[in-house]
Amino acid sequence: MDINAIRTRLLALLRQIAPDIEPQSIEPQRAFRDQFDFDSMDALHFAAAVSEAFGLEIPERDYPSLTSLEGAARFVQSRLSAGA
Amino acid sequence: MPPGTAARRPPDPERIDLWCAFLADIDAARRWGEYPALLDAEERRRGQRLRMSADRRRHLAARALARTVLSRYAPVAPGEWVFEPDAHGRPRIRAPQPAPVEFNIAHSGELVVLAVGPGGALGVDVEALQRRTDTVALERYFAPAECAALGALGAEARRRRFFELWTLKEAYLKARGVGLRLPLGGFAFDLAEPGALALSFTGAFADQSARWAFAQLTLRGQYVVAVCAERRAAQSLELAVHEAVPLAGQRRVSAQLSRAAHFTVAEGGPAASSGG
Repeated sequence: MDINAIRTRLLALLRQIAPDIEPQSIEPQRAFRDQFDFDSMDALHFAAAVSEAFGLEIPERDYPSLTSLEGAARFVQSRLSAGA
Repeated sequence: MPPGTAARRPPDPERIDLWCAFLADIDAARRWGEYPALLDAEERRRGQRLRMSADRRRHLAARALARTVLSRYAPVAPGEWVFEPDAHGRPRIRAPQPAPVEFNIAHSGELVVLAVGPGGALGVDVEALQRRTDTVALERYFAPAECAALGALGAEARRRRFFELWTLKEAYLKARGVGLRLPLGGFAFDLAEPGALALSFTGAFADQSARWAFAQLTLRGQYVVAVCAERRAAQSLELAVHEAVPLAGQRRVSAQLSRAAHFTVAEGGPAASSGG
């Protein structure tokens, strides 16, 4: 999957978890928790949503890869291409 | 007593203090304008990066509460504490060293909580019961025994029990300093007996439940709070609960623990006090 398509999908998932955030204001490289109030429960919701949306098993040790938009996009892309 | 000159007292070795700042109380005291001056440059930058005013309020209140409260335990002015984030982003004391106290901070909705102890590992978590979140979707990350207990409850009790379990797990993980990197299903809280709780570990999870004291309480009927503190040997700890408005004042409040292990409410009861 194209990384731009992955980013778009991730943004949509993020909006479901934190409806108040404005997608255009997100800095892709910066950690979510440095831009808005993104706590452990949000992080787990996001991991669960990414896992379900892309059909990926995501163990706890990979959660740090999901702390920013760009990190999550690259993680999903690498996992998808590894499984392809 | 003028701000910053409150009586200083080292932390009691047998006691954990829980400091609670309700944002509505800060609004009423009109103190927000004084807080940015307490923060260091990095804390102010972090506040500016937060997109939403609600997030900035919580950040500012949390940092102002931590700085003013910590200064009650050691001869360090609120603005002089130097913090650094650990690997999981939680602030720790960098200066002075050795750190005179251990602390941990959490917030949810319109409440910031700060736990302060004498030096053992310490974690605190709070969740607003009104939080808009799909709790059932996250239950599957819990231990099988916890899932079974949740599944036996009606919808309202189940949601409340989820927040009780979540805050206990978070407080424990924060005390361990590991965040979500340890699996939530690797340890389980049994809350079946009223007033009590029992922690057990599954699989290869290396820890001893006797190492930890836990306390859980509900504040203003809206917030579930859990505190986890490391015990020395067979130590029993006391919890003292305070409400504070940074730079305006604080008071001991009466508190009832909804459940506890190796924790009791500190004697002495509510006593009015003031000062920053």
